[in-house]
Amino acid sequence: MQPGLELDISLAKDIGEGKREALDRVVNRHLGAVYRYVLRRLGPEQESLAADVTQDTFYMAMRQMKRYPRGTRTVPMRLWLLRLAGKQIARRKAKPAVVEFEDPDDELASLREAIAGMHEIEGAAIALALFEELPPEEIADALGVSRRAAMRHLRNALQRINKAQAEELEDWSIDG
Amino acid sequence: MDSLRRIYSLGKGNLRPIRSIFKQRPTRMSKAEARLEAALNQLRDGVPLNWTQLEDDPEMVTLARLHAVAQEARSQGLEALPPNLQRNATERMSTRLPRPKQQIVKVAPKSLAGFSENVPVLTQVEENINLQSRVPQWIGATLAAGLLVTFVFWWTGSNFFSPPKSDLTWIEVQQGGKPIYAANPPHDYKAPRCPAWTTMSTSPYIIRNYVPSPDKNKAQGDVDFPIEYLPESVIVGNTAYTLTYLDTAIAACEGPGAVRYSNVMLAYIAKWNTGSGQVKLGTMSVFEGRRQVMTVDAAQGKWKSVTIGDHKGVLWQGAPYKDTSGFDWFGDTIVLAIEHDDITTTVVGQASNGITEEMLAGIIKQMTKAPTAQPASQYTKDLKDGTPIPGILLPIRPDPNKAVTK
Repeated sequence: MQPGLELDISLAKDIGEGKREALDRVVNRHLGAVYRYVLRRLGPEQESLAADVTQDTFYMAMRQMKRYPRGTRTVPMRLWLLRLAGKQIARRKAKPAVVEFEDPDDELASLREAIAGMHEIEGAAIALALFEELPPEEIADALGVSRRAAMRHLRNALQRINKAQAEELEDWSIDG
Repeated sequence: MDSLRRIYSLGKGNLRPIRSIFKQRPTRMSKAEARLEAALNQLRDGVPLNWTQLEDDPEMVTLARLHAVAQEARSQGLEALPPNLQRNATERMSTRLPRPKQQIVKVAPKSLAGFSENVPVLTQVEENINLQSRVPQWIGATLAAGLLVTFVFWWTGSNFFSPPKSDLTWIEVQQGGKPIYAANPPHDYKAPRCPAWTTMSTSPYIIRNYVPSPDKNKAQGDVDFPIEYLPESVIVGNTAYTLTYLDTAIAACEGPGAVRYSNVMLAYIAKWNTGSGQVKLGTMSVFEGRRQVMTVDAAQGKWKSVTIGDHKGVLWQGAPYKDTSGFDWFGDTIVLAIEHDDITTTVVGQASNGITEEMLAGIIKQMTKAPTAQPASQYTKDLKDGTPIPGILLPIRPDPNKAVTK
């Protein structure tokens, strides 16, 4: 069993029994990781939105807490919460802030925008790999798919970015 | 063949083996997916992709470029969380917290005072009733009872609710600036005053300025105690961990007796060995100091005293934690501070990333079994009068009674 997973499962069960201390502990354990993930995806200009999405994620987690410990396929709560955070970003259609004078060399802003425009699972795959630097098996767990499927989503996301860049270059050469 | 044998046993009504065949089946990946997975692991380890990996693979080129771009994002959000975020999140969640189940306690029906239907009430003999006033007796009895209750409260308070007495010399737990599990340094001990170190007004922590040391030998030369490095791997129960050493930094005391109160910070990356690979659990910091009181703040988390072998100390868990380099650990942080002789070792890790109490205890246990002190600068105690003198570094002299073998 992955380290910390046993504690996550027991905390989830305690929350199901209405124990407030367990709830505090879960928030304490994972709030930082979830907030950082959302903030990295939306950009530092969207601090307030990131805080809202984080709150929504934990609220959603609370509603689904009974479903969290699911036999042998239970993943660490941190990864499960990252999955829910990705869903919340997609649900709220949360996007990075629009900058009035966009710097064409700001590759990070372009990456964030590209992720926001992707299919939910592909965007999450590339964000987890690049922003969170998770290993392949954790990316798969956070997406709720197999390792093979996770790598496929990641490759698709990279292909999409390449395609978009190629189109951009083509437009630029026609305009030029 | 082995698989066939297991399937054969299915015929005997045993369903378990065939299930285990599917469970153990490795994930089949296409060549491209496997290459991508290997590239991800390589980038995580800080090794750039090579030409062979990038050649004719535009996705891999993009991955390498974006991994570098995302470095900036990875350093974002490491500062404090927005104020009220934790409180707001907890409050919203608590609206959906189910009510704790109340245990139904069956209460035995009481019979009326002094009356039972089953017991026949006998007629009583008429008593002589004293018609004198009993008020003074009552006042006396009430005062005596009051005194007795006060005494009982005082006695239980002083014996049961006073802070537990600590048997630690250098580790202290404080709450609101007051020691609740006090360190007991020698009576002639004077706390070091180093101008470069700052004391926090809001917490009991002393913040030191650590300067990276180029190598282990140089670091060992700067301190007056043998630096204990963590073991490279630890096995706790069925779980194996790898601890990758990153660097050493020294906080020298610039006051009088500069070397005497130096403090060491070691940085590690903890990884969990899954069997098929390794999963990074996060960084761990280790602080070592000699004859310095190490404090933990009970207000920010829960603590308990621990004994690991002949090492005693305190285990603290909570958030946030400010370590002695001034770094804030957000999220559930676990701190194990132990002392041995006059040296304190404090190991800090992120519990939310999977660093557990058992893992930290395992590390200390292993260190106790096989000390990993660096032999670069030989260290010994001055045994002139049988007591160690702090701050004295002496080369170990060869034992003349020991035969030299070549």
